[in-house]
Amino acid sequence: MTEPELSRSNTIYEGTRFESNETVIDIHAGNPDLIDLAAAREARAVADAEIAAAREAAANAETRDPDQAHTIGARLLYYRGEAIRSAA
Amino acid sequence: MFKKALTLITGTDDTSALRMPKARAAKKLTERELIQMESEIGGKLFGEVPKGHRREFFCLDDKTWVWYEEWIDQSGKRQNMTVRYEVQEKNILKVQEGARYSFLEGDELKNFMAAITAYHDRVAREVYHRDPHTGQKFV
Repeated sequence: MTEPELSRSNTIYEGTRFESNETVIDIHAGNPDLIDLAAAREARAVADAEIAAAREAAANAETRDPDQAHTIGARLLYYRGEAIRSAA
Repeated sequence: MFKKALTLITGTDDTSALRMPKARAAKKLTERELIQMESEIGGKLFGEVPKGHRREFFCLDDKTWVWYEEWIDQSGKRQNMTVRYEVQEKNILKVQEGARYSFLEGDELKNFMAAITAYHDRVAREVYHRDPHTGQKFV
């Protein structure tokens, strides 16, 4: 069954298979429930958004690391400088 | 001990200015000596140093960290390895001998950040007698 056909009925029946570019939804023989395609797409969109947010958060966390590393280095240099000055 | 690391960093093998003074005043520490004190702590941050190894890890300046390791191989020959970490605006660059360069990412970046944070906290307390959170000197 192709996507245009599914779009008309908006449901997928047991034993059918829906494929998009990245996702494959199998309706297993053991699950006789009807699948609401609109709901499946919505769930997929939510999952995609969550993945994108997680990736962005990870990228942002990594970009903050150089700032933190620089701050740590700067503090150590300050401590060193103060130690030298106070001992002079 | 630092010659190899400094050669990699500065591009010169002239370390005469960095040699330990033969006699020093009790409380008058040079930057070089302070780095050595820091490095003693830094070298132990990554667990026990294997027997026969010598490990140094220290903050050279606010943008440069150095890992130096020295050991005797099975043939009795002295080996060493120096890694320099450069803190850049958006990345941390790892520079190894043989002109090998890579940006830290993933677990290696996490481990590096954890190491320098631990280094800062211990060095602040043990070398400079400061609270690592506030930077204030202990009374």
